[in-house]
Amino acid sequence: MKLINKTIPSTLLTIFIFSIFIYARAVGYGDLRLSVATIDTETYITSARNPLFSWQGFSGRRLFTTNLLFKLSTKAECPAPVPSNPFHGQEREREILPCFQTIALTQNALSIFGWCLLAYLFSKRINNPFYKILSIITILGFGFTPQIAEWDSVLNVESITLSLGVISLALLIESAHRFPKILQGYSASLLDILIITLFLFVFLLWVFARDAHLYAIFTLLILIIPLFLFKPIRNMKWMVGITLLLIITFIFGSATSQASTRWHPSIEHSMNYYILPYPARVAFMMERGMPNPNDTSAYKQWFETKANKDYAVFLLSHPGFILTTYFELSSYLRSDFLQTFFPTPKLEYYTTLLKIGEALHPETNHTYILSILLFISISISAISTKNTTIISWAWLASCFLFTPPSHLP
Amino acid sequence: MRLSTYGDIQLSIAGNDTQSYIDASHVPLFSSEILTGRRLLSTNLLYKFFEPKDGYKIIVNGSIETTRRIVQPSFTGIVGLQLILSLFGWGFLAFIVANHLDNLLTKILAVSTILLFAFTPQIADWDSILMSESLTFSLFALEIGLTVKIVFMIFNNQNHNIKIYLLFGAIVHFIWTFLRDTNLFVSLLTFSMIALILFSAHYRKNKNIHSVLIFFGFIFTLGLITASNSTRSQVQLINLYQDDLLPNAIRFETLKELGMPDPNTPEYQTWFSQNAGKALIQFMIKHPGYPIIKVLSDFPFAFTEIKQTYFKAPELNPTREILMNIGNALHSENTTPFLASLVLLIGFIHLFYKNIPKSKAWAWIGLWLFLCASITLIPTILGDTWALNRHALFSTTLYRLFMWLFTIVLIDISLQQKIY
Repeated sequence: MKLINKTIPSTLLTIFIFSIFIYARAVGYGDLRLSVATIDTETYITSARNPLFSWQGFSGRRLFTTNLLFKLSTKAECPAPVPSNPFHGQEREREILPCFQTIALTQNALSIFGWCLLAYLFSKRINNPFYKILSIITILGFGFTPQIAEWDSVLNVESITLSLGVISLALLIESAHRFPKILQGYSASLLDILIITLFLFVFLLWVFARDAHLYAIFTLLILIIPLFLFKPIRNMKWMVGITLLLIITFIFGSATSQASTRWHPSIEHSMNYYILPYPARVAFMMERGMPNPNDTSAYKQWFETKANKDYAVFLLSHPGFILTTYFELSSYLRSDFLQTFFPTPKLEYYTTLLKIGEALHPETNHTYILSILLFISISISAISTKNTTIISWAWLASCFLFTPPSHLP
Repeated sequence: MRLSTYGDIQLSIAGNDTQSYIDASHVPLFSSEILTGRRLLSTNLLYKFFEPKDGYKIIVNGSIETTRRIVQPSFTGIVGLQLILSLFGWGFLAFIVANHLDNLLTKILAVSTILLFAFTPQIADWDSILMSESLTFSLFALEIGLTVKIVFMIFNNQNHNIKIYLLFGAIVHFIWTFLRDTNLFVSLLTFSMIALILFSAHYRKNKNIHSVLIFFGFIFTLGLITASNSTRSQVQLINLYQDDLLPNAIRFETLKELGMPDPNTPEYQTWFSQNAGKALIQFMIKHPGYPIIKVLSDFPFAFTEIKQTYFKAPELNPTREILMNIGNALHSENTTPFLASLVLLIGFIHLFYKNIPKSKAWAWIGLWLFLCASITLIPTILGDTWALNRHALFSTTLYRLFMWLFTIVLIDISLQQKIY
């Protein structure tokens, strides 16, 4: 409770800022039960009918975490609501859907809790009172402007992905800053273990929200395994346990993903856009065992069993392709952050919120350059000062920087 | 790279305003009109100096439609000078900034960032356009470089001989100020910030500071007198009255209360030429909500659509496309640079109070740069309703430059500290 133990005025100011933001977020976007369905919503409802802790629960059309969330609506055998389809000009207004109001409410509550937790735990690690306040305002402003907040009304995976991601990030920051103390020989307290366990729990929920999140385990393992070079870490059995748990989860996630049909649409798109129109790439894939695409039945059989593995081999052996495609499509990474499923209210304060959101969510690539610059700087600082706090921030910065690109392929 | 990737260095294109620069330069050199005409002294001198014997001939005008640049023989001198000043100005800034950083990595970062910032199409394209933007950017880059040099010399050792830099700086500032009327506010700002330094007994007896103060005071007075007696302010007032004030019934009534005749009567023109400016100031004092709301509502818009729209150059692809993508990352078209600059500035002021080495000079330069952007943006928004993005381009470019420059400086300072 370092944040609020200094003086009464600063505590009151912090509480006041949190209260203002929470109140504004709770009332500024209309009734928190309002929601809108998309063309994917029906698949979440159907998938949630599988038993949660079963093979189908993990290898079905949708993943465990969204199945868990949509269980909230399946008890009443809810029919899928009419979807909003902006691509075909059929945008729908949000409404209170009796079957789905609990989901909308949960999404909103998780979002508010998640951003507040991140603001609190991040600011706790900042020394200067002014920057503590600035970090709280910036994080809450970031999370509570329409670019993020509107997704909480959409019955899809985005809201839960963002909220669980933010909660795991907050807990990871807290865990990483508790680590140096443990490294110095202090035994882990109950609170330390509780926070690390909580992080793992939320992180795994986040991993099983979307298949692409599985690669975040891979990134985390790459950042954890080198820590075993330090003797104190090698002696921590629970660290070995965490590493094993992550490896097992990664294997389990890969197996359930492979057994599912979830990857079919994305691999089909990749084949259609990146492979089949290019004879050299087709030749490479055929060398790996892909049948002639004109042989429909053989191609279909290969596609359903091996296409994702062979495509992964193609990506690994063509790093130049990954780079050029990344740059060609980089405009997608800096545009259209706003949801398009429901029309935004035509209110004056809402326009102001959008403008503030535009400043905090710039639709340009400069965020990536800035992130790299700051990462390099903090890494050099960590190496030159060997200060544990800086090392913790540099380690966290690696997670920040390397987790998102692992989702791109 | 800059010389080889933008096509023939003699290529140019005019805008609708180019003719007014040519016409304004035809007034006699030693007359008051050269200061109070439709355009300002610096562009008047430039167009007068490079005028061919048979006069300027505009062959291609990009304001009519976005088209290709061509070599316009009568403008090769001007476009050549714009390019040379651009290369020299931005190059000088990159060199000086790098020279005042300690870490090798940040030196390399500073040089690459500043040169990429300036040599991507978002800035470099203006060097082919026959208006005042290119000179505004290049000369101010030169001025920032000189300011960094002078400020560091004064803060490090008051007895440094800085006369040559002061002289060079004075020439650059004089030419730059008389490119656009809003640049005048920078003289006022610099005068005030230097005057504040004199409150410190340490600097009070420094004769160099006294001379600089007198120079900025003189420039501001001269600029103010010539601008208020000029015909160019009338055009901006006409736009402002027509687009913003007269269509609104309440504002219309207020102006009538301030003595404005009916706009459909012949008396209106006489009243307008003599009283429109004063009436506008009185109106803003009476209704302070008007300027506040106007600044707030137009502020985000001023940061958008910053790319020139006068010419296209598909023949330079794919290089141009790559440069454009890099430029998009460095020149974000939203208010983020303003927010980021503000946060960075607060950080530098904090470092100043903590007495972190070098932070005093950087904090002064940062505050000056941030206020230069702000003090020129506000009158731009309030002074005209036309082409806000282009008129505000100097200010928004400064915010964007600030964001990159001071991030690198902050990294450099943090890498030198052993405070952790």
